[in-house]
Amino acid sequence: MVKQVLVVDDDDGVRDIIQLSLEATTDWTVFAAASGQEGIAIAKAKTLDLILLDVMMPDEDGIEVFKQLQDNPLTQSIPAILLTAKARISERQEFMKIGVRGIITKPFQAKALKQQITQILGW
Amino acid sequence: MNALHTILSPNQFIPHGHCYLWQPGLVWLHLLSDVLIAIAYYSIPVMLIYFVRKREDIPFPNIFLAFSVFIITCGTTHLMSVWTLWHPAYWLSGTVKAITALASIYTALALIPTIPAALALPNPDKLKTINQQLKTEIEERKQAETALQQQLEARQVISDISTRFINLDIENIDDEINHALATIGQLRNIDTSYIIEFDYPNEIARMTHEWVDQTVIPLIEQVQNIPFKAAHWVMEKLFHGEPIVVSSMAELPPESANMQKLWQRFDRKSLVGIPLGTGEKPMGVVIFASCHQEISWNESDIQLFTIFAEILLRSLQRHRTELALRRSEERWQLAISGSNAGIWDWQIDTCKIFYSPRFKQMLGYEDHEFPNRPDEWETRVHPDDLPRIQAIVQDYFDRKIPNYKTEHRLRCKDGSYKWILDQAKALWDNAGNPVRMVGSHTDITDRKLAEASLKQQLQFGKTLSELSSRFINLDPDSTDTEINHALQIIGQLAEIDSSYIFCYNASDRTLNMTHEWVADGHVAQIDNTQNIPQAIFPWALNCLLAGQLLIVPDVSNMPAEAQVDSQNFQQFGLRAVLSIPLMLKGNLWGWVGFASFSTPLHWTDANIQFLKIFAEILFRAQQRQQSELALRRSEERWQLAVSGSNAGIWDWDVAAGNIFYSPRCKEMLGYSDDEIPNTLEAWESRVHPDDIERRHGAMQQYFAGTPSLLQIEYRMQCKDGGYRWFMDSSKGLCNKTGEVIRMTGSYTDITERKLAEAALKQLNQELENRVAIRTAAFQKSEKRFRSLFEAAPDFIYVLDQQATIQQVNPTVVERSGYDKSELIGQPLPRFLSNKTQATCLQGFSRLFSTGNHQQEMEFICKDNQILIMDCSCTLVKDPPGNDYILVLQRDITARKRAEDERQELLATLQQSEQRWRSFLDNVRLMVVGLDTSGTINYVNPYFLSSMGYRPQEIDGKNGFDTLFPQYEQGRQQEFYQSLLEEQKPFHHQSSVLTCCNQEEKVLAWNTTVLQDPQGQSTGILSIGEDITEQYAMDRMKDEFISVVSHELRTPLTSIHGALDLLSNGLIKADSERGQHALTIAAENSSRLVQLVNDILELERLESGKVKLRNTSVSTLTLTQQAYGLVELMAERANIQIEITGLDLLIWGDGDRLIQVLTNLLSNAIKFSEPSSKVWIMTEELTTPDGPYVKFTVQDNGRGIPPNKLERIFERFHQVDASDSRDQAGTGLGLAICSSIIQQHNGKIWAESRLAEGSSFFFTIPAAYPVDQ
Repeated sequence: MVKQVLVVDDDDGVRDIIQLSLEATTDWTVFAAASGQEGIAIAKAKTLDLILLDVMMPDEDGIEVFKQLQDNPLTQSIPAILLTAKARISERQEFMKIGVRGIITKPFQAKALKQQITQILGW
Repeated sequence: MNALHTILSPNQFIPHGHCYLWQPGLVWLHLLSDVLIAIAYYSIPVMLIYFVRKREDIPFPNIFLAFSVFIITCGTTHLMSVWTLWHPAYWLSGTVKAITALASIYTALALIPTIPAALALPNPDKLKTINQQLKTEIEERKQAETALQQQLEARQVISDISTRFINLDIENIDDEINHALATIGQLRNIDTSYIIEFDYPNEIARMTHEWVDQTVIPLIEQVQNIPFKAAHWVMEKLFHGEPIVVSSMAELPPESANMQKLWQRFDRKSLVGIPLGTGEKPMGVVIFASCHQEISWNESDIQLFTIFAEILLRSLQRHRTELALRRSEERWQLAISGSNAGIWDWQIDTCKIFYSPRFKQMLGYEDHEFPNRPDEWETRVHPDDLPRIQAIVQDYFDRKIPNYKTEHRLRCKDGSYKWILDQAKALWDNAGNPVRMVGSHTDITDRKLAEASLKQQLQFGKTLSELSSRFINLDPDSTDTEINHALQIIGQLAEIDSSYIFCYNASDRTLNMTHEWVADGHVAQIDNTQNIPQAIFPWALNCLLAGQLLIVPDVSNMPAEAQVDSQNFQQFGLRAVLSIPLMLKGNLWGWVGFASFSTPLHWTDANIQFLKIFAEILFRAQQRQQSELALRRSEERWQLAVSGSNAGIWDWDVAAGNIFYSPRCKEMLGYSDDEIPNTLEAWESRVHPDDIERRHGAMQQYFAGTPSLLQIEYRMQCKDGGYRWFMDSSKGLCNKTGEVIRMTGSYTDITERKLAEAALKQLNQELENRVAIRTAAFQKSEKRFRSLFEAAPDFIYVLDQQATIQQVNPTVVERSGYDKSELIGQPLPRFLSNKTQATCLQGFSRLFSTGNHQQEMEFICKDNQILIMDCSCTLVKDPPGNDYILVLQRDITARKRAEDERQELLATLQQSEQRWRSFLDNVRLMVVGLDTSGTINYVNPYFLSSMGYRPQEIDGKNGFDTLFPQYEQGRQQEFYQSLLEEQKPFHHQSSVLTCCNQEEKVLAWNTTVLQDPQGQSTGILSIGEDITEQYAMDRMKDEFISVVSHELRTPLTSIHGALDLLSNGLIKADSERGQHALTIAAENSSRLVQLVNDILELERLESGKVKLRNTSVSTLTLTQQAYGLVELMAERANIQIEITGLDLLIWGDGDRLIQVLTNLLSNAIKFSEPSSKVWIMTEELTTPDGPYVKFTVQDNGRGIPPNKLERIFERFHQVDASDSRDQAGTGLGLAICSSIIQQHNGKIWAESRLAEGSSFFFTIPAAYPVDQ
C-alpha cells in the first residue's frame, strides 16, 4: 500500500517544499492543508498514515489541532509528527507529553526528511 | 444470309472423301485418326480444368484455360476433317480452323510472359529441402513455445511464492517453505526438494524442510547432524558460492566419491544444489533432485532454482530476525509484566520515557498517577543521591564504566524514601551516542534497612562488649572515669546530647547526678544537679520508683499530669529524655539518663534494649565500686583495731619447747586463763581442721626461710564450739646459725572482717554472676583493684581539721609541680590565690555544720601557673571518730576559659545581632524569617510596607499559607523541607508571593538556612527583591524572541528546502517542479529580507536610535504624497482613494508620517474589494493637552474581528497569518506605525466592524493654525 501523508502548514512555501521533498524522495501520496480545520477535514476523508503538523499556526496551533484529531475516533489513531522552529529541549518535551510521535525541527534537509519520518515511525 | 448459306451449303464443293478417292481404307484411316485425336483433344481440357479446380494454388491458371480452349478448338478442327469427308462444308471447316488459329496464337502470346515465371517455379528437390527446413523450424518454434510456457509458468510460480512469503506470519513460515518446495518440485517435474541448513559453530548440517513426491521416501529424519567433513566436496563448492549441478551420478569427479555413494544410496539420479546466501558462509543449501530419471539440467533450470533459493533465503533470514525480535519482545514483555522489578525505558534522543506499572507501584503510585516523563523520576530521587547518579550515567554514556548500576533512594507517594537498585543498559547509535537506555528497579529497602539495623546492632554489640571488658579488672578508683567514658561512648553512638547517672537518695528524697557526659557545645549540668528535690520531677520519679522506663520523646509534649516535670525539664534545657531505672533489691537506686537538648527524639525498641543493657553494665560497675570501697573501709577499720592493740600475745621458746599464751588470747576464745594449758598442742588442737595444714605449712616455710614477719589467718574453736578467725602475727629470733630459737606473736580476732569479706565476696560473686549473664568476660575477673586515690585525674587531699594537708594523691604532685614533702604538713589555703583563700577558709569553718562545701578555687602551681579548680570538700569521720576533710579538686581551667570566651563571643554576637537587626529593619529589601515548621518569625518593615500587610497579619502565621498563592504552596513547602534537610548554606530562587490585596509579586530570594551550634537547622532567613516588572519584561522578551525565531525560520525553511531539493538533484531545476521550488526560494528570500529590514527598523525606532526631524508640515502635502506612493497599487486593485478634510499644519517628521500613512493606505487597499473606496481624512481636535490633528484612513474592507483588534499594533499580530503570504506583509507594519506615532507623542488606534470596514486613526500635535 502506498503511504498517504498529510502536511498541515499555514506557510505556502514550507508546505510546498515538504510536498516536493516527499514526492521526490518517496512514492507516498502527499496531501496538503493550509490550516488545522482543512487538515482535520482531509484526515477524516482519507486513510492517512501520517500527519505532519506545523506547530505555530494562526487561529489554531498545531497542538490544538492535534488534540482535536485525538478527540475524534476517525482520526485519533493517525500518527502525528510536529514541525517546529522551536528547538529548545524543554519545549520539545512539552510537545512530546501530549502524545505526538516525534518532532522535526525547521529548517530541515529535503533528503533527510524522509529518513527522519521513517525513523520515527519505524517504516 | 447469303454468306451463312454459303458457309453451310456443302453443295458447291466436292466432299473431301473424293480426294481420297473414297478408298475405304484411306477414308477409314483419316476418319478413325481424326476421331481419336478429337476424343483425346476433348478429354485433355477436362483434365486440365479439373486440375485447375482442384489445385487453386497453381500459379497462372489462365494459361491452362487458354490451353483448354486451344485444344478444344484443335479437337473440333479434327472433327471438321471427318465431317468434310462426306460434307464439303469447307467454309465452316476454315472458320473453325481460323478460330483455332486465333486461340492458339492467343495461347502462344499468353505463354510468353508466363514462361519466366514458369521457369522460376522450384523444382521438386528444392521444394523437398525447403519443406524439410520448414519442418525443423516448426519443431524449434514448438520447443521455444514450450520453454517460454515453462518460463512463464516458473515466473508465475516464483511470483506466487514471493507473494505468499510477504506479510507471512512467522508461525506459518515452515508450512509456506514446504509448500514452496513442493510447488517448485512439481513445476520442474522432480521428485524431491529440500533445505539443508549449516550450523557453523558445531560444523554440522541438518535438513530443515523437505518435499517428496509420493514415490520417494522422506529423508528429513535421517539427515540431521551430518558433519561438514562428510560432505567435504559439496561444502567446498557451496562455500565458494557455486551451485552443485549433477545431471548424472556417473559424471561426478573421483574426489566426490563419498558424496556419490551417499546420493546413490538415496537413489539420487540427478540433482541441483543452490547455496542459500553468497559469501563464505552460506546459511545452507536448497537441493532439487530426481530419483527416477536422469535430468540434464539447463540454464533456465539453474536460474529458476537460484531465484527460488534467493526467495527462500530472504524468508528464512526474515524468519530468523523476526523470531529473534519476537523472542526479545517476549522477553521484554515478560520482563515488564512478570518480574518483580520495575522497568524503565528511556528514548534518549526523543526524551521519551516509559515506566512500567510495577515501577510506579513500587513507589506507591497507580499507573496513571505517575506520568511517563524523565523529570518525574528526577524530582523523586533523594537529593543526596542525584548528583552521584548523574555522574554515573555520564560516565556510562562516556563509556568510562562498563555498567550502569546504582543504589539510591526514591521518594514514594507517601513521602518516605525507598532504596532502589537500579541497573540499566544503553543502546548506542553508530556515532557512539546513547539513544536508548533500559533499566530495572529493584526495591532493596528491606535489605538496606536490615543492613543498617545489622550494622547498628553490631555496633551496639561491639560497644557493649568493649564497655564490659573495660569494667573487668578495673580498679575501683578508675571506675568513675570509666563510667564517664562509657557514658560518652554511648552518648555518641546513640547520637544524643547528654548521658548521665543520677543517684536517688530515698532518705531525703533528693536526686544527685553522679556521672555525666555532654556532647561538645553543650554545658555540663552536673554542678547544677545536686540535691535536687524529688518534687521537681514528681511524675518522672513516680515512674522510675515503680521501676518503669521513663521515655519522653519530646518534653514539650508530655501528658497533662506531667506539666510540672515538663516545665522543669525545659528549665534544664532538655528536649527529650530517656531514663532507665537502676533497681537495687526492689528499691530505686538511681537511673541512667539519655537526653537531647536540641531536638525531639524517637527511641526505637532496639535502642532502648541496648541502652538498658548498657545501664545494667554501668550499674554493676557502680555497685562493684561501692562494694570495693566498702571493703576498703572495713580494711581500714581493721587496721584501726590492730592499732588499738586489742590483741592477745604469745611467746614460744622453740628450743625449750615452752609456750606462753596471754590471757587475752584465751579470753578471745571465751576461756579463762586457766582453762587452757600453755602448751602448743592444747592450742593447736583448737585450730579449725581445714586450716591446720595451711598453718603448719606456713610455719614450716617460715622456719626454713625466716622472713621477718609471719602472718597467718586461721580459725580457732571457741569455748562455745563456734569458730572465730584470727590473725596470728609473729616474729622469730634466730641464733647465730640462723635457726629460729624463739618466736613471739599476737592474736587478733578478725572474724568480723572475715565475715564482711565473705559477705562482700558473696555479694561480689552474686554481682559477678549477674554481670556474667550479659558478658562472659566478667566471669574470670577477680583481681585486686588499684586505688582511686592513686589514679584519679583530680586532685585529692586529705586534710586535718585545721586544713593541713595530710595526704595528697600523685596527681597533685604531678600537676602542681610541688614535691609531696612540700605539700604535706602545709595548710591547703597556702596554695590558693588570695581571692579564693578567704572563701576557702570560710567554707572549711562551715564544713563542720554542713558536712560538705563546694567552691571554685584558684590553685597556684609551683611555676605560678594558676589552675581554676572546682573543689568539693567533704567532712569524713574515721572509725575512731576523728574528723578529717576530704578535698577533691577538679581542674576546670579549660572549661572556665572556654566559658569566658563564650561570654565574649556572646557579647560580640549581641553587637552583631544589633547591627544586623538595624540593617534588616532599614534595608530596602524584603526580609522574611521562618522557623523549621514554616511559621513566620520575622519580617522587616520594608516587607510589610511593600506587601501591604500589618505585623499582626503576619507574625506567627504559617508562611506558606499566608504568603504564597495556593497553587504554589505545596511545591514551596516541599522545597523548603528539602532545603532544611540539605542544609545548604545558601540558596537562590524566584517565587510568586501574594500581597495583602491578593496582587501577586515575583520576588528573587536569597535564602540562608539558619543553624544552631549543633548544625541543626532552626529555620531560614530569606532576603528578597521585587522583580515583578523585570519578570514580566523577561517574559515579553522571551515571547518576542520565540515569535521572531518562528518568523525567520519559516522563510528559511522554504529557502533551505528548495535549494536542498535542487542542489541534491532530487528535482531538476528546469522541470516544472524545479521552477516552482525556485519561485518559493526567491519569494521567501524577499520575504526574509523585508522581515529583517522591518525588524531592524522597529528596533531602531524603539531603541530611540531614530531621531525625528520635526518640522511644521502640511497635512495635505502628507496625504497627497502618501497617495502618490500608493496610487499605482490602488489602480491595480481598482480602488479609488478619496482625500478630504482641511489642510492643517502639524509638528512632525514628514517622511515618517508618510511612512505611516502609506502603510495604513496599503493595508486598506489590500483588504478592500475591487471597485470600492478608501478615504483619508484630516480634522482638528482639541484636547486638554492642546490642539491635535486626527488622521483617519477608512476602508470598506472585510474588517477586523473584535478579539484581534487590541493586538494588531503588536509585533507579528496580523489578523490572519495567511495575510502575511497573500498580502506579502511581515506582521510588523502596524507595530512600526505605532512606534512612529508614539515618538510624535500621538496616539494610534483602530475601529472596525466585520464585513463593513475598518478605520485607523492617529493623532499628531498641531503646529499652529494654518491661517497664522
